[in-house]
Amino acid sequence: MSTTTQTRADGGFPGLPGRRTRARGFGPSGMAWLVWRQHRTAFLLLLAMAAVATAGLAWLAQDASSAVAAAEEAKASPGAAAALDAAYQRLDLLGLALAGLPVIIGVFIGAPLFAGDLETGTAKFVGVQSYGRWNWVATKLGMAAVFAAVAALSTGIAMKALWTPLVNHMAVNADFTSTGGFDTTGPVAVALAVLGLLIGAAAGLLMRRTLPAMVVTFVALLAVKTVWSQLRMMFATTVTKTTGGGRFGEGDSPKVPDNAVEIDTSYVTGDGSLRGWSTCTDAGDSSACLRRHGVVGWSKEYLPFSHMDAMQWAATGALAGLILLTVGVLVYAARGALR
Amino acid sequence: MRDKGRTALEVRGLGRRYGRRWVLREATFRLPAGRVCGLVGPNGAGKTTMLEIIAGLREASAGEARVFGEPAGGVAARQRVAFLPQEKPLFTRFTVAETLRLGRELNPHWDQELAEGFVRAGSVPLDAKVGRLSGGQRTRVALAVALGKRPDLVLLDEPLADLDPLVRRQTVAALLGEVAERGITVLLSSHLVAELDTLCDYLLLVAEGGLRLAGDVDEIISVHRVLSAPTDRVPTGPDGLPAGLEHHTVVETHDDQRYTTALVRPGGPVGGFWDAAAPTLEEVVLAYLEQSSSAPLISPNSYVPGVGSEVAK
Amino acid sequence: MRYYIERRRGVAAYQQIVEQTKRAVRAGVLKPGDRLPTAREVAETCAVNPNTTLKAYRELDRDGVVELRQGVGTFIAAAAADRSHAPAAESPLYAELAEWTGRALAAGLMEEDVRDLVELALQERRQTAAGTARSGTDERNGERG
Repeated sequence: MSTTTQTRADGGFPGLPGRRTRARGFGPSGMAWLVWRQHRTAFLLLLAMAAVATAGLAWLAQDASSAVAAAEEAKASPGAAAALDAAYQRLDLLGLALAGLPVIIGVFIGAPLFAGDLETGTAKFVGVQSYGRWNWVATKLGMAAVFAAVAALSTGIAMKALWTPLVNHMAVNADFTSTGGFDTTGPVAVALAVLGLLIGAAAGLLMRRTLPAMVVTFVALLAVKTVWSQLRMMFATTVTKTTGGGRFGEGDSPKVPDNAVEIDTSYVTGDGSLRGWSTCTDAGDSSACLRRHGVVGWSKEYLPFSHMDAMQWAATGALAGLILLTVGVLVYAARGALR
Repeated sequence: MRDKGRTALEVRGLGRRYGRRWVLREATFRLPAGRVCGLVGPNGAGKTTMLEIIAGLREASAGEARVFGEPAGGVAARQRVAFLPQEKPLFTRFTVAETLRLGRELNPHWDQELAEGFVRAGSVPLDAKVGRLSGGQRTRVALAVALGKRPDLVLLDEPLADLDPLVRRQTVAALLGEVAERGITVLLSSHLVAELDTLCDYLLLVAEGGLRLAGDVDEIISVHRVLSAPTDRVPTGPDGLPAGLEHHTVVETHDDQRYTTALVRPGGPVGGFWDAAAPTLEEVVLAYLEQSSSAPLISPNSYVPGVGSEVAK
Repeated sequence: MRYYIERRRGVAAYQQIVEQTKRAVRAGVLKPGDRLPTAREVAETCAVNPNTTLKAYRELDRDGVVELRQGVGTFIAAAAADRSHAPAAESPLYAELAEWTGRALAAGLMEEDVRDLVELALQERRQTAAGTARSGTDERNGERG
């Protein structure tokens, strides 16, 4: 930013009167200028991190899709399989790392966003300028949210580009409902990043000190992540395939699409009720045993990859509710801290 | 001067509590425009809270404050008030120039020339980081931002407390220069009672239970007398007070082995064995602070009609 | 013109400005038509509240010592010189005082003592003039303690 140069420009000529014009260079003005000037290092670091991650993911995505292509051409080449395996290993690891993005945003951008100003008193300094203080709160949150969203969006798109060919390839049993796949791509990634930011900001307003706010944010976001992992499947709309007519041999199990996630496999009885998959594993004659239980076929519940988008949007809806709730807490905390 | 004869600040029944604890109660006064007003009182009398409410940093729990008729904290009042908190918070990682830029970005009536000139007059380099400035330089930068806003009312919370005497004098001189130039109204809280009499022409003294003294400094001094007499010549009067003080409003008496002194508001001629002298502002202020039960003196031009408090004269 | 304002019992800052201006006029330091410093200049050099300076100038205006010209400045009035007695420095009284001061200092008195003596003499004068010193104007300069 060339924010200081224009004032400095005439600083060397004490004889000249001060500038009369309000010459503006590039860049934000008003409250946005202040927020940018104050937090530009953090914002730029976040963007740099996201850019590096995006570039890395894009490069890996190319790698993965060529590995998939090679595997599909020369069916069972050990080299191709190893390449795919390596790609998936990396995917898993990268997914987990990327899933930490909302935590990083919350702890390093959200928590200090207001706590820093409340701690050093600059909240007062800004608060006595002509702008209202809600303007300050909104501009800070808005700009931080934009940077968080951009970071999550770019890494999310790159992650999806890496994920999709691998999921589509049957050799990989990739779970796209896992943290690494589901939380790091699409609207869910953006919503989680914004939620992390808001939780951090609210903690900052409540604690009014940076370091405690960062710790609280970290713990809170880990808790949110854990609970979220438990709740995620609520948003899945699964498909159930059944076989009937007494075809319950191992080979009769219904086929699910290659890229689908199997949720549950069980036996189905004549009246439609389900029997656990292990119902007769201990019996000597499992067929007789199953017949005795009235089993007439298989039932397989699964989640096709094509349902992922819908599932993510449903999850984003729920996250949006959580975001609104956090905004409510934040406004309450801001009233407490600023009034 | 702008707004001459107008009321810069009107405070009615102002109070603020945190939880159940009231830090400010029932503050009521009026400050005429164009004055430099000292706000004194013991620690914990709610001076800072009051200034913060007027500046729009806090909401009042009771009552209201109006700045040139506009409710404090509103957009209109916010543009006319500048506030310098005691700790003079600035962004330590900004340069001086950037700090002034902040003032320009956040205030529609910003006067860059004034602010830059004010900083330069204190020979503060514009490209220096604020975090590296001395206390006096920081105060000057903070004041530059406050004045560059072109306020009509400047609120200063203990502006001189942590400055050495030379810088204090320079700061006061610079501030008063702007007051002379622009007719700004200034309300400043201070512990440095001894320095208030050349700095301020108006005084507000708050203590437990509210306002004790309000009015023109010269007027406040002129209606008080310090009486003194050798203790052995002073008989005790009917109500336990030294004799000869019945006709006066006694603010505070003090006696040691040799001399008895009293600060009074004369209600008639001072006579007999008493020696009378005009007090210094410091003596008056300290007497009222020490004797918080003495009758308040509210000058008519700081009296808010319709709110119960005694009017002198 | 530069004012020296000190914190003194019973003498308000504006009175000090009035006194010092009058003294400067009497001593011929300030002549008719001379411009007094603006309230801003006084504020910036002496850290004196501009309202105090303006109050002093108004009083000087009432006394006919200065003329307030709106928007131009404050000037020593032409009449001021007439009103003052012969320039003090040229009067025989001053010569006597100067001679006496010299003797006093030679006798080992400090400047402060000299001032006290003059003050004491003035006070005695006043007391003989007013009988008992108890009127509002006199007690301003009264000593206590």
